[in-house]
Amino acid sequence: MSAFLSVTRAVFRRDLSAEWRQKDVLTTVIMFGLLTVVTFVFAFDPARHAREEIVPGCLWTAYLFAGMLGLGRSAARDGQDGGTVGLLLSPADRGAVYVGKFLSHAVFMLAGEAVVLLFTIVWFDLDGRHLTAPFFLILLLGTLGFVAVGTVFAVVSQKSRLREVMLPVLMLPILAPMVMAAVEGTAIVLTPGSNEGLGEWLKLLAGFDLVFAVAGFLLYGFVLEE
Amino acid sequence: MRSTDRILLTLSAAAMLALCYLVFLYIPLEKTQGYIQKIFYIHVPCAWVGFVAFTVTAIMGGRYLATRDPDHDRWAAASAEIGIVFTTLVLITGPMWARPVWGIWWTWDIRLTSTLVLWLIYLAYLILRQTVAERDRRSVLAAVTGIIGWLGVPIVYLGNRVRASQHPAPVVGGGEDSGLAPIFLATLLVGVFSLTVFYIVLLRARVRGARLEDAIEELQIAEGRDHA
Amino acid sequence: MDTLLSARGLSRRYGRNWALSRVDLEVGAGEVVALLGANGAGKSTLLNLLSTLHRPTEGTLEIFGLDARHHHTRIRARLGYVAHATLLDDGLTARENLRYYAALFGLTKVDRLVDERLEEVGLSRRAHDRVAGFSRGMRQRLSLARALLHDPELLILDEPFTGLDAAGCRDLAARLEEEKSKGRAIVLATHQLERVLSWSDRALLLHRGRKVQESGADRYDAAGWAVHLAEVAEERT
Repeated sequence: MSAFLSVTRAVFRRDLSAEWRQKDVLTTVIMFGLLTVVTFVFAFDPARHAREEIVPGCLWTAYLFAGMLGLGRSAARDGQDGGTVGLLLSPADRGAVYVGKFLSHAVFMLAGEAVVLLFTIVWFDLDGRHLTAPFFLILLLGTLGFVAVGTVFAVVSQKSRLREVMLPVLMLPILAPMVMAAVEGTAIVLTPGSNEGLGEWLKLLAGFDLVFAVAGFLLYGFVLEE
Repeated sequence: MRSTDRILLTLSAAAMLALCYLVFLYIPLEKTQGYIQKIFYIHVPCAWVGFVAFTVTAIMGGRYLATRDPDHDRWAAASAEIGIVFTTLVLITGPMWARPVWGIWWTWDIRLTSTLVLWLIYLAYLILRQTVAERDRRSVLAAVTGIIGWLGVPIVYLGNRVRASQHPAPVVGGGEDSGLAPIFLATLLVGVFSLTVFYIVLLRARVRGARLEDAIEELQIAEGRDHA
Repeated sequence: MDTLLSARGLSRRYGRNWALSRVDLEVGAGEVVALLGANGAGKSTLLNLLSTLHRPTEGTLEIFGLDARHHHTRIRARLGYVAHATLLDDGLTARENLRYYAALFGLTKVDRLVDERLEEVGLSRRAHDRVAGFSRGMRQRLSLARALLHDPELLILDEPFTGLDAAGCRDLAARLEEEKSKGRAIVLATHQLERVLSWSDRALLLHRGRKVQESGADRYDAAGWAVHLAEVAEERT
């Protein structure tokens, strides 16, 4: 067990210190996240739509597309100078590597999302009434589901001839239920009044996370090895 | 064609003829929808076959990962291809029915969305197969995608149930859910039987073809190797 | 002498191309085997198979008495590989890179071990510098330190002399000779035969995926030399 944890920690720490110095993934997530939000503002005039109509879709679209680019970046960096080969040559438990990658990707995503959220708060005039505990819970669960699927498919797409194009092609349909749940849940939280029906969406998100984290944990080794 | 396939194909064709008889000559016309309702008896069996086909892809992917037997990968790939064909038929026949009955081509409700997502997932599966040149690698990546993709299906279904309970879809005329009379159910089952058997025939033929393609390639490669 | 590695009829196909065809190879404990041949002769393919990174299309491969098809994890724990790429992360320091690999190999007493290895390859003073600023020679030395972290019984090197200046090559050759004297078995691919023939036990000449010569390094026959030199000449034009 301690061997498992030390591999997880090593992978996590390596990703974080490399990112701390280069900031490739974070830059990608933040820049594309912000650009998506701004594009949404151009497409849907906030003056003519209620906040809860635009913000959930806007936020999650931004997180999704920025996140996919970020994951692609992260996987491409791993492949540089045979980094993945180095990992493969070790007897390290593949599940432990998955957990390490999962955690580092989650940290990158949450950090990038926080920055994008700050701007969204200002641009859409969100305040304490909207940014409640359920709001952040949805954010966390949605992100974990995204990362659970993305950590596997970032590696898969690197091995396809289409590379970064393949990532959204594979991920978006599989993420459909997560996106639906995250957007609907966020809309409920942002709508003034009761949070009725929120529990169902949270349960769905948690279930999604669980199913795909377990699947990723079990299947990551196969993907890495080929 | 082997005798098993001949028997299966005959069975399927006979059931299809029976289906045509039942649909066009025997069962009464549905009162509110008219003739267009009859598309239901091909639409639903296609959806069923699509789902079965993708399930087979996921299972065969799992077996490939466990055994590395290339034949399992052939079954998985063939089943996905056929599944895409049948699901495409579902996505075509659905709007054909919806337009006159609902007044719209498409609505984002439970079954439509999950069918569309399923179709997109396995389309991505086939694209992935096309873009990975090396065979072992392709088989493994496809197997993992086939399994993970399939896991999403029940969740889409659940998600749509939650959403549908909040925003009822604009369904005019209940159609499918409103409990079928025995003769309608029997007709539907004949359709399901016919297309399922037809799916098996196609699957077997496709896998045999893939085996031959691989065998020919092996021969060419072996020849090239000895002359090198 | 114990047999560390035994390959029979080893073949590997990539698409329609046989990169390696029916190669037999035995490596004993503490033995140094040089793989010679032009680019594309199958040297890297053979090393990829020996390091268990790729699976053979045909043939059997046993390393440390274990079947490479099924026990690659156990084999990898006892095998060191210096690939053509450095396998190092540019964004990390020399020390961080080694610490990362030490953890992947499940090693203990990591700090002391890493210090020792850095000392051995003469990089102690650059331990806290990022690899991005390293020269090719320094990277290669660090790469060697990485491959030796877990004290492998078998060391595999793919073109270790490429990109090094004369001093770097001498340095590396001396380091490898030292490893040999410690009893480590080495298999290395190179097309600079003059660097290795003096201290390797055997040499293997590959040509278009096949083994065309195998002998003690001093007993290369005239035909073998001719093929090899012709290839080297062809490559340089």
